[in-house]
Amino acid sequence: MPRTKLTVGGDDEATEYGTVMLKKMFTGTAFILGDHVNTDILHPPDYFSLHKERIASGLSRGAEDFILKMKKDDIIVAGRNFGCGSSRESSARSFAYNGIEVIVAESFARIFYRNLTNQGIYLITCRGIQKAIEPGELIRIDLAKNEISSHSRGWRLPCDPLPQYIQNVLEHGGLIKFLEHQMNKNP
Amino acid sequence: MHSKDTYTHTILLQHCVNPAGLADGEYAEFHLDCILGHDPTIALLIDDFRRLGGTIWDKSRVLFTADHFAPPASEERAGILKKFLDFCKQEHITNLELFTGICHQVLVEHPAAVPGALIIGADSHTVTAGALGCFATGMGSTDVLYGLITGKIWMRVPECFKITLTGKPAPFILGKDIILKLLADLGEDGALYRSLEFVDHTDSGISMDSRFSISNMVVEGGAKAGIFIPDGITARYVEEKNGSPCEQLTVPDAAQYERDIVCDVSGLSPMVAIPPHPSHAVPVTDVAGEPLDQVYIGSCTGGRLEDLKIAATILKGKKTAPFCRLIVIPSSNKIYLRALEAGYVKTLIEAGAAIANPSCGPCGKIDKGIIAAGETCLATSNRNFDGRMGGTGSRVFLCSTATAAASALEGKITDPRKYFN
Repeated sequence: MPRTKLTVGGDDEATEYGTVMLKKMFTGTAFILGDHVNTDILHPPDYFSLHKERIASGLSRGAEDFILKMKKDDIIVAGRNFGCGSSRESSARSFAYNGIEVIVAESFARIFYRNLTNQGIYLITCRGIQKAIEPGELIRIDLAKNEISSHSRGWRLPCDPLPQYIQNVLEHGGLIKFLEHQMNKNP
Repeated sequence: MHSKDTYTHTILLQHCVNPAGLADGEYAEFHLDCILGHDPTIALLIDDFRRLGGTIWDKSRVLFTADHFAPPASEERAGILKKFLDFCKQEHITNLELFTGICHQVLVEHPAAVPGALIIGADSHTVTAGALGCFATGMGSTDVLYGLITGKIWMRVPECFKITLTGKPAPFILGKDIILKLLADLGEDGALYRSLEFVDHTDSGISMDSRFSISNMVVEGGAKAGIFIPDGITARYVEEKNGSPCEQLTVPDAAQYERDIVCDVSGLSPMVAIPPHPSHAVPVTDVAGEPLDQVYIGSCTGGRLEDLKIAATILKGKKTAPFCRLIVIPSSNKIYLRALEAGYVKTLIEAGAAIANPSCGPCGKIDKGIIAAGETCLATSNRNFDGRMGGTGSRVFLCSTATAAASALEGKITDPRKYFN
């Protein structure tokens, strides 16, 4: 399988790979959440459904509907162990169905990390960001440099590089498309 | 320190598609021995499965259960169950357990769960099967779809903690107390991404049912797996279940662990986890007297024969407190039937319990015991997140079945020790 490294230089927003793109840069306003925000808070279990609209409507319904306060270009910056709890994929899908492309956290709970990655959402682990960040601060995530920086206050923090396997999944726009690509290649 | 040559690594190496050089933190692909799935999470992947024109790689290695909406309590859930069952019919799934128990209990009763097996399940509590020496872990529907079609899954090789259990637990101490204590010590993300390997060096050995409770809740500390290194207790259980001797996996002598934890269970107090975090566990005496609207004995953590036996022992000849509802849900039909034969069910009913059929029940706010806004439930289940079992401001405290049964008698959180003389 052809591999695309994230460390390609240049000013392009993304590296082209087949028909899909690997994003390298995200800019947005920090929307801050705390530690151990669990899946039942993020997406209460009674919003489990097979219908996209119903799943989408459940996002953050256990947490005072934070989604209603989020603006279009906001980036969630969460604390430790983001998304702990259930494996119900409806929680992860609710983020995708609400157009969320990237989330930053001190750390992610493992099943939630897989589920969101499989939906094609970029998950950026950045230790120390909770201390550095202020609400409403404009941040830039640079995946070419594996760095998050603040526009207004000038701080820079390293973030964990996305592992190669995760890059492959994201390049395809999620695990289903990644699998589809494999099935087409090896019918 | 990195972990090396652990039991976890041994299993992963045996299943690795490309076994050259597995190390902590690396990503690799692994062959699967078994996939566990249940009604809602399998229903969620069916449309993609069809769209991809997929076929299941090996139907004999798939175990599906209808246990969440079992039976369904709303029209929408009836539709989800129907979609799941239609899929099972069309795909000729033979290992289908329809309303016979909670998937994690059904799995450990199934021949597929043996030491050394690599199992994934579309549910976070799949870690329960680690009690039998399996590497068993939970994933979402899309990962399970990938596994169903390819027979493989990607994973990050986990760092490992060794947890040696020592001492002699008091008769009122169950596995649930041990895991709540460990979670309190580790914290809610203290075992994030780790595989926990339990070595049972207690005086008389921890029962299989208690081991299931312990492995079940490792995920509440963030762990990927909670494996009991197989011993005589494992071998006896597997032999009785499968009718054939249990093959032992050879474990390297010189395993290295990231952390080496020793937990002496001798002086352990009954533990209760305060909402909304399973790791906020304290000795029962710290929260004794908390008034209760409901007590729930059941779930994939605390509805096994050992639980029903201890509940029946405490409740025999007594009545639950007025206005305190007691709901008991055996984890599987096998357990239910054995509890009937032993007379536990009769004792519990006479004490005032409502017995419901094996299923997830109120955990995950599904059915059979959802609580109202502002109410408090003491439960033997595994999660006490806000709204986990009911309306806004409802609360769930977590405990062992001994504590649950004693508390049902008094209508408030009660130290079970006074019922053990």
